[in-house]
Amino acid sequence: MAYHRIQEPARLHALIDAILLIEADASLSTLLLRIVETATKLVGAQYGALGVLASNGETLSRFITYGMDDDQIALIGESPQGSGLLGETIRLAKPLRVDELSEHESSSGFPPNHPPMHRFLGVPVKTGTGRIYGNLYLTDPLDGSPFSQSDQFLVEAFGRAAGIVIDQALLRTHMREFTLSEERERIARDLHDTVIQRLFGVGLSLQLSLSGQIEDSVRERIDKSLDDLNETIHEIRTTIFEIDQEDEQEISLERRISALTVEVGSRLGVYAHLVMAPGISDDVGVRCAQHALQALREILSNIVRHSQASIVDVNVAIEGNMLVLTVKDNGVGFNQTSGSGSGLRNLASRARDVGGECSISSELGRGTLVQWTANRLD
Amino acid sequence: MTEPRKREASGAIERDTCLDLLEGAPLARVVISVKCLPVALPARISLVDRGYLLLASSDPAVHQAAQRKDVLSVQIDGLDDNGMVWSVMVSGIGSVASEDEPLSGPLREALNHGASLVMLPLSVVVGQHG
Repeated sequence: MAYHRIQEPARLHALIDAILLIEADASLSTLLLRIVETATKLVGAQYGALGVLASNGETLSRFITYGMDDDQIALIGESPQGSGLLGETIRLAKPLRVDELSEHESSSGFPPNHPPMHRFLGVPVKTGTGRIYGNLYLTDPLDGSPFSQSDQFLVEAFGRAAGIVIDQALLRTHMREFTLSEERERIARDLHDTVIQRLFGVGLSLQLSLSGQIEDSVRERIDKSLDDLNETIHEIRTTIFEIDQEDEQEISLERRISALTVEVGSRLGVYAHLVMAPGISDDVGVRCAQHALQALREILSNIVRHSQASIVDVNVAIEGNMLVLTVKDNGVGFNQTSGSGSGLRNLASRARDVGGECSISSELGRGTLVQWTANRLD
Repeated sequence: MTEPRKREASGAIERDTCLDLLEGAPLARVVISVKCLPVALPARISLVDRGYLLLASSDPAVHQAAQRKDVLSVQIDGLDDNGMVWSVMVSGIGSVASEDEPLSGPLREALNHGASLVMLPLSVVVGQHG
């Protein structure tokens, strides 16, 4: 274990303090940010980042940084996808320590507006099951010296602890979704099967009493009671409907997108390959999530119905404030000059409703590419 | 009747197939409660852009339910080629629709005979086989 290789008591104490600083009950996004910050400070680095691996295990789906402000990040533009030295850390699946970045054979340089960096330490973050969740990337110790082996052991040990906390956060999210979903379902079922049926029973009894010889004033009262009971039934039905809708929203966007893609893959005979930023549900508002899911459903439905595709690539990413949904198929394509159908107009309209846009490029015999965006904060 | 193309082992019919079945169904029953009793009323239906349903019903109870924005359930069912029953239900909050909506011939005809028009979003679409 990496803990045993940390000889200096002060560093061991710093590690324990750092692990304690990770708030186990924070949301996944907050947790990841905190992990980057703590790792960076732990070894006195100037910059730190956590690159979360995409489901293909080869690229990065999310890149959380510490040490750069929002303006700097915006100037650099697109987040790293996992090329160069970052990609080398992914491929090695073990720590990588470099004294001068520019001299490493895998170095691919920096994009414009990126601050210069020299020293580098990359360490995998493994979950409790040993799966690599992502990599911690640290650069440039503030004292100017290269990263030491002791720094590496320290970050390795911290990465292991962070992986377990990430595991717990993911598990907690799934448990919460499951429990809430079960309880809501039970309440809705009870309301429908018990309460409404009893009200119908009472209604029938009252209706029967109206068929006998009764005074007009009593008849009026019974009639009024029937209306009141009927109103109660409407209210209960609305409540059941709302519970069902909330239940749907409780299931994370990640799980709903995965389920939808699996459905297309397994039941409709199209190989669907999904790449999605982990923890995306925490970064996307309720309305945006609803529209994105519906848009993806429409896109996949169009592919299944019209494209004759055998492979579909679905990519769900965050770029700044936008959720970006990219779907590419290898189907027959269509002639864009012949006008778009109502389904495609709906997609564009749905995107505009949430501050985004939809672009479609297709060519006969060469498949179709749909990019649908939405303001993720909506 | 059209046979549902795809279904799960449990008998559930996938949403896309449900929409296909709705597209092919001219008539449905709208399930509401009137005077504290469940009633099923016939309505002409038309699926618009696979995004929402338009209903035309001459029963004032359906129009009133839409005015109140009640939750409405619309059901269709049929038999497949193997004699198995299938059913599809759509639920959503109903609202009174404008006559400017794109209307199919049967819906337009129903309106000409005094029916009122109701819009129903496809908030919940479930289909069941057997």
